[in-house]
Amino acid sequence: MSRVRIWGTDAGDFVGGRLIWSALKALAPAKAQPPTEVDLSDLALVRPYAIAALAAIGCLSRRKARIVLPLTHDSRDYVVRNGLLEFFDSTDAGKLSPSPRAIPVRQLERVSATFADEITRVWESEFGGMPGGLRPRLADHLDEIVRNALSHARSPIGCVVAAQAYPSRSLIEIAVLDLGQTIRGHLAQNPLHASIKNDRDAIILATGEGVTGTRAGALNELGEPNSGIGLFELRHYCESGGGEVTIASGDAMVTFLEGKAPVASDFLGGFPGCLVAIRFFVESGP
Amino acid sequence: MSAATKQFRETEAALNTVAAGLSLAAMVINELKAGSSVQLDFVAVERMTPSFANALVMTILDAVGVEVFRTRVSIAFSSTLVQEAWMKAVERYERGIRLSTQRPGAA
Repeated sequence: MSRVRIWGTDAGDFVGGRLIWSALKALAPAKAQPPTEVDLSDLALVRPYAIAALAAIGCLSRRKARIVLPLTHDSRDYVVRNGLLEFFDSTDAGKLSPSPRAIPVRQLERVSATFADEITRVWESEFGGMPGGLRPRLADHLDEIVRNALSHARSPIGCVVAAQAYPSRSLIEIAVLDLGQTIRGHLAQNPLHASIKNDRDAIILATGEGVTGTRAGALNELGEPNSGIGLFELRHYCESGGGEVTIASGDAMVTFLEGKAPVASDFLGGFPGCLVAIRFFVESGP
Repeated sequence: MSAATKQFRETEAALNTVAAGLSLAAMVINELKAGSSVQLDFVAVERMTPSFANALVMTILDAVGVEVFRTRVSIAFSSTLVQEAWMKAVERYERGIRLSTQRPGAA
C-alpha cells in the first residue's frame, strides 16, 4: 500500500508561493505509481488548482484509491461539495452529497461543445448576473484552454477542470490540469521551436501569438489544424486587466497579470504536465 | 438578396469547435468556387471561439484568396464577440498567421 498525505492551508497565491505544494508535488510520484490511499486529514483551506490535483491523483488510481477526508468540518464539506469523492473509493460517499450549487470537479477526455457554457452559466447564477458579454467571453477562454489540453498534451487522464466562484470577492478561479508531455515537450516537436532551452521559456513562448507545437502541415491529437491562439488570447485578456493566469509546466511556473512583466519561478521537482490556473475578475450585476 | 448569393444560417449559440469551422468553410468554398456570393448569418450566435473563427476564416482565405473573400463573403451578426472573433481572424491571416496545415513547409 502506498499512501500520500496532502496537507496545509491554501492562500492560492501563485506569485508568493503560498500554495498546497503537497498536492502539486504528489502528482509526479503518483503518475509513476498511483497511491492506494490519499490522506487529507490535515488539509485546511483548498482552492480549485488543488482540487484539480487531487482529482488527477484519483484518476491515476482509476478511482480506486481510498480517501481520508479532512478532519475539519469546513474543509471536509468543501471537498465533498466539489465532487472529489467521485474520484476515490470512500466509505463516506453514501453519507455525503454534493451541494447542488457547487461546480463539481470534472474529468474531460474529449472536447465537449457544451461544457464551457454549462459551467459559466453556473458562475453567472452565483453572481446574480454578469456584465454584458462577459459570460460568453469567459466561456470562450475555457473552451480554448480545455481544447489545448486535449489536443496537445497526450495526457493519460485527459484533463481535469475545477472551478469556484467567489461573488463576495468578485472573483472566479478555475484550474485546467493535464498530466501530459509538458508545454516544452509539445513545442519541441515543432522544428521551429526545437531550440527551447528550458520550461520557463517554453511557457512564455507558448503564450505568443500563433505559436504551436504542431509542425507545419500536421494535425494535432484531435486530427485538427492549430493556429496557436488560445493561450495568447487568455494571456492578453489577463494582462489587459481581466484576471491573472499562472501556467505551471515542467520545472517552471509563470504568472501573467496586468501591469507587470511575467513573473517566473522554479517548480522544484517538476510539474508532470501542465496546470493553467486562472483568476477571472468579475464585476457583479448585468 | 440576389439569386447568386447563398446564405448559411448558424443556429447554435456557441460556435466553439474547429471541426465545425472547417465544415462550414468547406461549404462556403464550394459556393464561392461555383461563382456565388455567400452570406454567413450569425445573428443567433452568441459567441465564436478564436479556434472556430481561425478554422473558418483562414481556410476560406487560403482557398479563394483575399479579393474573393472581401468582395463575395459577408456576415450578419448581433454579438460583438462574434464580430470581434471574425475580424481578428481576418486580420491575423493578413499578418501572416496561418493554421498549422497552411504554414510554410506544409505538404
